[in-house]
Amino acid sequence: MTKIHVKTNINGDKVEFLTDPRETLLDCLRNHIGLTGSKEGCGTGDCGACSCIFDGNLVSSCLVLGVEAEGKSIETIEGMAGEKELHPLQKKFIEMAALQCGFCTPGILIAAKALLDRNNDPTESEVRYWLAGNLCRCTGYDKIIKAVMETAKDIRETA
Amino acid sequence: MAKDELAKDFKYIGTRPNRPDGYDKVTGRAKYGADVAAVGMLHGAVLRSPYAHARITSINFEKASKLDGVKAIITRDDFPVGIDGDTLNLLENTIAGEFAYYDGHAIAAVAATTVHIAKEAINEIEVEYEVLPHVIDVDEAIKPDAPVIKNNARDFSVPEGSSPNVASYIEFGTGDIDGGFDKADLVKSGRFKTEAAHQGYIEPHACMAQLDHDGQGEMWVCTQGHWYIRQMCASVLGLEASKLCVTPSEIGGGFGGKTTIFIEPLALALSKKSGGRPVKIVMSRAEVLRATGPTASASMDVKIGITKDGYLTSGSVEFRMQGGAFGGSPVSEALQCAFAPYNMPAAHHIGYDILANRPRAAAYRAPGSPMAAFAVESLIDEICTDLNLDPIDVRLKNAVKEGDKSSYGPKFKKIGLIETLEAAKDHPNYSISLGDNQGRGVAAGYWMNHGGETSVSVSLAEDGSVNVTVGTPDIGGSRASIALMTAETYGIPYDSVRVNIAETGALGFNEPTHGSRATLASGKAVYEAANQTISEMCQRVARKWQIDPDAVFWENGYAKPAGANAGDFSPISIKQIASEMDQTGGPIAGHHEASIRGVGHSFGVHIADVEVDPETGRITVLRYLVAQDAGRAIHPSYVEGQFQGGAVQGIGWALNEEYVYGADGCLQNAAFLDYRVPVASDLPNIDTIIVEVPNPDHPFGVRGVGETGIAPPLPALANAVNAAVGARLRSLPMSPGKVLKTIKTGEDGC
Amino acid sequence: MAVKVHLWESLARFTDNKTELTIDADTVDELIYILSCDYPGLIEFFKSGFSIAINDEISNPDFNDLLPENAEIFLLQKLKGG
Ligand code: FES
Ligand code: FES
Repeated sequence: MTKIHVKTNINGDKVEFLTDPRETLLDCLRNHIGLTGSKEGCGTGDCGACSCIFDGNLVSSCLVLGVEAEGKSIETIEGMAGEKELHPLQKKFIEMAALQCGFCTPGILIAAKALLDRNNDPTESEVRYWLAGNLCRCTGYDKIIKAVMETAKDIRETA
Repeated sequence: MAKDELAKDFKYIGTRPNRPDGYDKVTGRAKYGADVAAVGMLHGAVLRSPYAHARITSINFEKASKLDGVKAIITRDDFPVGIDGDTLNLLENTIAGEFAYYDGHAIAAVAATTVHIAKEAINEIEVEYEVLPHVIDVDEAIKPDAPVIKNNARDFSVPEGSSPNVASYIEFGTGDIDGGFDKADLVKSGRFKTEAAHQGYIEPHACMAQLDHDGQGEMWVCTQGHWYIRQMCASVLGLEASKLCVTPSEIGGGFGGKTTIFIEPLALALSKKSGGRPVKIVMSRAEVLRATGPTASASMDVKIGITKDGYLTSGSVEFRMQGGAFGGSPVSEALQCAFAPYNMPAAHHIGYDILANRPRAAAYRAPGSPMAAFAVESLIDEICTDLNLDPIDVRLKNAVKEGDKSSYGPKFKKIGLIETLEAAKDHPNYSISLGDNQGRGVAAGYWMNHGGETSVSVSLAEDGSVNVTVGTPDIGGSRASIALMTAETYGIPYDSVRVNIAETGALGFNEPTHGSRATLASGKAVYEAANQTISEMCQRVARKWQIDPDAVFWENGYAKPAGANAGDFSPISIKQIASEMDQTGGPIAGHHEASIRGVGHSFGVHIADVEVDPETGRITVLRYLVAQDAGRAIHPSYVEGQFQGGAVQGIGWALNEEYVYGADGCLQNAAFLDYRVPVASDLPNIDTIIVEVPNPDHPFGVRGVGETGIAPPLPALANAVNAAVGARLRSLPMSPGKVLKTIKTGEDGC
Repeated sequence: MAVKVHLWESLARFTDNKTELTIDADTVDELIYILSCDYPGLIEFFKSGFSIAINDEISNPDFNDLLPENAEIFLLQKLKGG
């Protein structure tokens, strides 16, 4: 199929790529732009491993077409850390062992950041429901939820 | 192993440092199975059977091969003939020959320049099938008149006259069973059933392979054990093992499911047929569910006798498990676990491994143990209810301890079941009061973690830091635990150790990271290898001091003179020894290869509190406690993580997860939306107690912690549901409809 | 060395219904050889892979292991895991 030229912005950088119109944004990130941090666990919007921020909204990038990225701005896990240090969530996840295999981690970090950007004082159940679309098969979620709650607390205290 | 070693205080072991691969994994840099590409790479796709059982009468790929961009198409004809035994089963499961044995069985594969073209080509392949009768349910499959899946499927163990779908048979026991039942005040029996559950790793299988006509090849693959992959691929393709170099990617979960081959030989064969171009195959989630190994489904009969003061007198089990179309259900392991927690005068076990038209079962965390626990621990709970006995007290009365004969024969060395039961009993969760429709369930579980074939090396860098090379992929923080044990052995900081996971050419054979053996076996081997380098360092220092090597000893990162008689020398640090290596005889490195002996018996006790909605049958888990004997927790956070992750997989199996088949024998829920694994909002925090009764067979007392935790949730939740609403479910999963039916009719679902 | 070998009941079909055998063998290899000669029905079992407990130490078999006098031996299914 004829490819389409897409201009977009990813993690603050201007990016252009050619895509088959059947390809998802996730395919484009991983295969055309070389950003393999977003993962495909299902391809059907059920696991959240492909979570990205799309013009300010949390999306499953496996449910967005690559061509839809035209003129948009996208944030992925590769853009989460600052130049000097990790994002507080990333740091806390390492410190509190909130990952085992780490495959769900990029998606969970993106989704958790989207929550804390909106609400830095969530209840535990708010965190659990917000992350209900992100499957983790390794951890039983316990340490993930605690790491998000702790980060929120740190953010509130430094604010 | 010196006993004082087990009792001593550790400097690094038991601390919670950041894992060495943490940065890579929170920034998206870590490379998993699907994250690589190579120049000239092709994409593979697999055509799968739409029938549960069929004869393949013809495959025509003429149209498909004419599509622009298609570079290779393979069928069974591209694989060697004359293979038999287990290897034939592996090959048959990789790609069907005359018969397709289950919905999703691979029939052909294509390599093309893009994924889209490969998928289009798959649709253009014309296959004619003669559909055959199928059987899915284990109790149906064992009937004498069930559709026969394979002729001559049975192995040596199956007695004449057994049903044709019985692949193997096992029976063992000890003591006077009937005498034991005669002595009992209460004898109770029941039938229990569990459905197949999938490991549900979030990362689908993926590999990139390259194979030339001269038989040299390379593979990048997400696996728990790359030597297994090498061995299996070499045997089904007729390659020389050492010519195939297999590099493990980071792995996005495995839980036993990534210890065997599925797409890997297909990628190699496609590469060869396309002139040696690298071929990448990534499974879809539907393919993972339809075609890779779930665990077995089981039907189990249990009978237990007990005195009225709570002493078990006798027990017998008969387990029937289907492990798919090739056999291989974990029935013998299930039997071994069934009565393992209990010191019973008599126990008898019978097991059948049965074929059905389902995907070939793969290992899943403590294979067999969760089913066994569901049957036995549920029945023990029924007995406790009948006799009005405390479930933890009954288990304490009968718990095995050091020196007791296990239900499968050998005596236990030092074990920690009693300590674990006591810890659970003392935990506040056991006494919190419950409200209406709420109930508490208790259950125990067991796994015998083993050592197995292991090969590691360590080397000293010129600045005194240490490289460790192991062959067990890091699924859940094993780099951290191995680094901690290394740091402890040398007495150097944790940060001065780097752990690498090597490809197959770099070390001797390693069994996979399975059976909770990474920390157990690689840890023990690294201890030995590090000690080799320590004695080399002591020897070099002895030469420098011109004293006997025995007069030098190692402590906290320094070579020191052993007492006043050795002479008056100031200790020399590992840093200094390392910096002088080039002038004292060259590199310092050590290695250790062994079949690590001994096992780590790890017992766990779980307490679950649930609330059941009597209107809808929905179960809410209110509170959950895991107590388990870790032997020694090297990195306690990852030990807790294993406890919690195992428990939640068990909770999913108990409450939601199941393979749903249509009347046509096809899987109807091959997606995460319908194969419902637990999500964060389903769960409470999972409380943990790490019990530490050191394993006498391990230098640091490790027992292995990953497996046991998945077994107790199945019965603990069923027991809690019964306590909440008086509904005894003997069949899993306890989906709302089933729960409601049991509440209303008292039927147990079997 | 005389050692005592315990077998599962399902293997007793091949051993004249005995689940306990006393065998004179110095090594694991010799033990397996003697059992295979005396009871050829066991050969398939040995080929299918097994684990062994010698005086309560459970391991994959090392065929060159020396057997202590009066050792108590259990033949078990091969240890695996998930
Ligand atoms: S890959 Fe997008 S939600 Fe699973
Ligand atoms: S850490 Fe493995 S899936 Fe979450």
